[in-house]
This record gives sequence, C-alpha cells and structure tokens, in this order.
Amino acid sequence: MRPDSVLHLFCRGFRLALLLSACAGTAAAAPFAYITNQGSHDVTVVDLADHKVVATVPVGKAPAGVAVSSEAGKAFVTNPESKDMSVIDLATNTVLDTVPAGDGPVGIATAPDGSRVYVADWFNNRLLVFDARTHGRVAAVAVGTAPAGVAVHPGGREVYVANRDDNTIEVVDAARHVGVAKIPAGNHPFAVTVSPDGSRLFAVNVWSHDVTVIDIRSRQALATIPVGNTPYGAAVTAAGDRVFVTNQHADTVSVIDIAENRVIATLPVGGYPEGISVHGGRVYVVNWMDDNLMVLDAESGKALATVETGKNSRGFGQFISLP
Amino acid sequence: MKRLSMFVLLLLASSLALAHGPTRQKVTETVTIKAAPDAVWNKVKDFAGLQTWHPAVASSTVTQGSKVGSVRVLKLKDGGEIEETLESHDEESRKFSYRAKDGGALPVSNYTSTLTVKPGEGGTATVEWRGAFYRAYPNNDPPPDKNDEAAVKAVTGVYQSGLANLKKLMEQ
Repeated sequence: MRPDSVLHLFCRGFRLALLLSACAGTAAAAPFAYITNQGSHDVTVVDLADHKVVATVPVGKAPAGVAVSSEAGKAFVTNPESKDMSVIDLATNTVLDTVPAGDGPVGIATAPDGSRVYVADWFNNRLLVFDARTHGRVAAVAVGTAPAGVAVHPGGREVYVANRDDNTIEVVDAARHVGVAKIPAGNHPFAVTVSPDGSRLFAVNVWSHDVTVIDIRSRQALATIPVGNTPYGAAVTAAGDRVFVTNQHADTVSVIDIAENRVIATLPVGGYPEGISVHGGRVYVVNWMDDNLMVLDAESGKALATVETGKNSRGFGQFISLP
Repeated sequence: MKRLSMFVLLLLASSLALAHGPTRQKVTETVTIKAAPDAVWNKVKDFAGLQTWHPAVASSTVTQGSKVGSVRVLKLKDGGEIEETLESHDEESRKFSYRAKDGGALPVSNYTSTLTVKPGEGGTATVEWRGAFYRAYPNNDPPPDKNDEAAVKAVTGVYQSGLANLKKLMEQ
C-alpha cells in the first residue's frame, strides 16, 4: 500500500482536530470521480485536482449506477447485464468483490454512515439492501414497478426509490426494511436526490420534462419545475441552495434555485448528459454520447475542463469520493 | 366489461412499447464527401426528403415539412414503416434531430437520432449520423433477434447504407 494511502486511511479513522494538519495534505489529493462506462465495462477514475485519469478499473457487464462512500472507503457499481455489483477499494482502485444483485441492478446509493448499500433491482421491483462492510445481503424490500434511482435521507432513516413505471417515489423505512409510502411524482421518474438538510426530495421526470419537489416530512409535492428535454440526473449543492439537472435530449443542464423553486440558468454541456455530481463549487457532468466528463464552474456555468472517459459513460449516482 | 379490458390491453401495449431496459446503446457513423457543406446540407435538410438519398426508403409523408414537431412516416422498400417526430432543426449548425415513435421496422425502442453536416478539410463536408436507443425487448434475457447486438447492427446498417449512397450521389 502506498504511504499516502496509509496516511489517508489513518486520517479517515481518526477524525481528531489534532491530526487535521497531517490530514490536510491527503485531503488535497482527493476527491476523485468514479465514472461507470456502460460500453467498455469499466470505471474511469479521475483525480479532480488536475483532471487526470488515474485508473481504469474493469468491472462487470454494462455498468451503470455508482455510489461512492468515503465512509465505507469503497465505490459500489451496478452491472445490469452481469446482474451483479462490483465493490472498488478507494485506496487502491482495485475490485475487492463482485456480488450477485438481482436481475437488473441499476440505481444505487449508500447510507450516510457508510454501513449500507441500497440497490434498485429493476426487473424484480425490489430494493436490495447490502452490508457495506461484508457485502452480504441484508434484506430485499418490495417497491413499485421498474425501480430506477435511489437516494438516502442524510439522517439515514429513509431510502427513496423512483418507481419509474408507476410514476411514484417509494419511501422505504431503513430500519424496518419496508415500503411505507408511495409519493406521486411526474411522468417516468428516473433519478431522485435529497437536499443536504433532509427537508426536500427532488424527482427527475423523464417524460414530463420536469422536476417534482417533495417535502419529506409531509410527503407532499411542493412544486413541479419544468426543465429541459428528457431530464435524467440531478445533484444538489452542499449548501442546499441549487439543484443541477441534466437534460439528456437538450444537451444542457438546468440550474434550479431551491428557495425560489425555479430554473435560473440553463448551461450548455456535451451530448446526452446524464450523470451529474456537485462538489467544491464545481459541477461534474457525464456526457454519455461524447464519452467524457465535463467540469463546470457552479456559479458561472463556465466549462473548465473535459476528461475523456470510457465508452457510453453514465455515472448514474453520487460518483465523487469526498475527502 | 369488454370495453374496459380492451382499454387495459391498449394501455398495456403502449407502455410495453415504450418501456426499456437498463442498457442504452449508441451508434455514430460518419462519411467525408467531396462537396461543399452547404450543398450536402441542402440535400439532407428536408425532413420529408429521406427517400431522395437513402436506398432503403421508398417514400415519406410529413405533417409540417421541416418545422419542429413535424411527424414523418417513412415507407421502406421492404415493406416496413417508421414514424418519427422532428425535435430540432438548426440551419446555422446544419443539424437536425428527431425521435422515433417506437421501433417500427427496426428492433429498437426509445430511438433518437441527429444528423449533422460539418465542414471537412479542403472544402469537403463531413456528415455525422448518430443515434441513441435501447434494444426492442424491454425485459431481461432477450431473444437473439431483439437483443442489444441486433439493435446496434440494424441501426449501423441504416446509417452506413444511407451515408454511402449520399456520398455517391453528391460526388457523381
């Protein structure tokens, strides 16, 4: 193991103020983006400090979903055509394990404490729950039809699943492993994401070309915000003030002001954008048709860099390893 | 009761036609033509004119010419049909894109496509035809004639034969 990896693990294990100075050096080396390439069956790992590809990790067949958990020290990837989940060690960028995951795993998310992995099993209408440490199956929860995107409440108590063909968002109780509510969304919801303060849920509706803003406590829709043509992904800033939405058939990203529930800007990106994550004042967009990762300044929308990925890159999920 | 079950059947049929699996496919084919970009664009830009350069198309009808929202129905020489709606048409960028209603004659679903004419080197034109789609079979373990390979092969064939013929026509 590389010395800076050891330091990185040490710093992750001991979050004491005293050690912050030693850890600052490793924090500057992170974060990294883990982009799933559905056409080349691998994951491109990009160092976001200098936008260089540091590794290409072969995984299963047709990887789509990705959930990176710094808490668990792992990136979890769904491979719908090989019907399994790959587990990548963040320190070494090697595959630790490959576990069966239903019949068509796509959407994936991890618990905020890094203890659980949640996988939407598309063809079986279930949410699979895995132990993030042992990778063993903990539970299988019945949800709606064609479950796609998955997001976890920042407090960890609920998991949200887009029931794509039912036009609802499933609320799953994370402790009891049971669906407790189905909240109506727009037409064909695919991605879901939650605000960092845990108050709002955003459902991205592919066929109604809009975003449903849901109040988590009351489970009521607060607003429906029209975005671009065929939206597929969404990411919320850490400050909780903006949501960025990829419009797959418009080659743009819609910027939503959360306080005002409206689109304040539309940014040009590459061909067929889908996966999107936001971190450190930057927006990272995966352009599936162009096979690249585009970096934008979150405030100005200006394109800062483009990184070539593997083929048919999707990056569907939270794909950034946070320091 | 009979009317209700017919309604349910139609609803089911339409959702099956539009549903798709988890793996999206794409095809991009390009050709370089020894002709000016404007000349090539004028040959392809008419949404109603595919039969004038694609060897597989017998005829087409359109509802609104090359206006966004126009719906064309292509009648293929081998008897199949494809219905497509124009989603964008940009004279300045020399490109247009459209979405198919369902697979139609092709073993695909949720198909969208963009045709672009770009300036090439030395006064030539580069035509790029690209499409995004899913295989026709929406569920797991598809039969061989409706799997991902079949979808990619069919779309690739359409693009390659069309572009090759376009090149021949423009260079003669």
